[in-house]
Amino acid sequence: MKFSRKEMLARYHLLNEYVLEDQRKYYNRAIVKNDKSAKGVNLLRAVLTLAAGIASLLAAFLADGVDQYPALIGILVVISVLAPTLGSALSTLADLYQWERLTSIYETARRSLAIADALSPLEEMPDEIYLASLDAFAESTLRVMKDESAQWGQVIKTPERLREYVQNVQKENNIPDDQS
Amino acid sequence: MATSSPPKADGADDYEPVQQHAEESSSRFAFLKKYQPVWVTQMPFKNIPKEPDQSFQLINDKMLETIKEEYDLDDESINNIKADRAFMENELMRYFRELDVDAKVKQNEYRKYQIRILMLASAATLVGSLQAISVNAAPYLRFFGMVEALIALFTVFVIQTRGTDATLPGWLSARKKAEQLRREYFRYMMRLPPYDQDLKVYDLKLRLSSRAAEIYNDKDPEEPSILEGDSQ
Repeated sequence: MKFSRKEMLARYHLLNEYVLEDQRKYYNRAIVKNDKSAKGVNLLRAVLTLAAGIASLLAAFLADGVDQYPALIGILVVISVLAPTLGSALSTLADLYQWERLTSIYETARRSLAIADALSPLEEMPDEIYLASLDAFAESTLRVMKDESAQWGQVIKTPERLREYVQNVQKENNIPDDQS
Repeated sequence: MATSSPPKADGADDYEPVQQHAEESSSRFAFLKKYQPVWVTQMPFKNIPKEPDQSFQLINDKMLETIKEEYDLDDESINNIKADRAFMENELMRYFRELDVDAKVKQNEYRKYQIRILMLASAATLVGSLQAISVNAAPYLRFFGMVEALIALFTVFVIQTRGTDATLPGWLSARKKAEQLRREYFRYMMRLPPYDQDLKVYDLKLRLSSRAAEIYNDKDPEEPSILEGDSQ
């Protein structure tokens, strides 16, 4: 049973409003969110590296005047050890969430949606052409979703550092590695 | 007819896509959301509903009413769409809802587990460093040694209490199948291959039922394309 012209129109608007536009808005939102997250974590990591450097420098400088500021030197030493640990934890967190790579995947998907959108059928088209155009429009929209989904699946991986840490603990305690 | 507009990022933060449990999957710290950096709001400490929302629709009545009014569409077309939707309710939507919720729960559990491991691994590194710099202070050295052993014990506890929901392959598989079912829904709605318009209605229905069941059972049916250059 073939669609009537009116039904083609209804199904076009349905797909355009609630698939293509919905995906576009979703990609926009994901790009902003992932980009802000990547930048926020990178900034924090840089601040921690700077803090560790300054603390080490000050500790070395004050240690020259032996015994004068033992408490302060102690605090600076702790900062110089704590800050890189936190920085490293943030790097692993970034590996877990893959914010930068996801931003790029969603950027590509958003641009590909523009190509699908360009295939939208036009009112002046005769029925046969309208249907072919509608099919191409729908197929390209679903194709963008499929490609984005496939790429996303390849990016998500357990960070190497966490995998190694768990494997070491499992080995030391004879726990079988039955879950990935 | 083409309603394309250049992509905008304005207001992108506020947009909620069509999704199941959109309002219920809130963080325990939601009241702090506006003060938190964006990356903190993505931490997995969320109350994810574990049961599918049986009323959720990929295309709901409100959406149909909106396009009907906005584009002056006829009742017959809208009723045909509703009939397709009603048929897919039993054949596809119940699988979609289940897999979608499953993927969300597994994503949350996987990340929760990884973040616990991350915290323990970082604590072990920190204590190891403190141990190294206090090598000449025996009391501290013993204290840090004890803390290190405690961290190892907690790690063993976390690994052993890890549920089957916290695995990466489980999350990725559920999400992949849910997204494939979402595409299948619209493939049928738009009568894209293999749902050719020349087929009898019962053939179309049989095909949809069989493909949805295959996706649900990890069979991954081919997604034929009408576009040039696509192999599938």
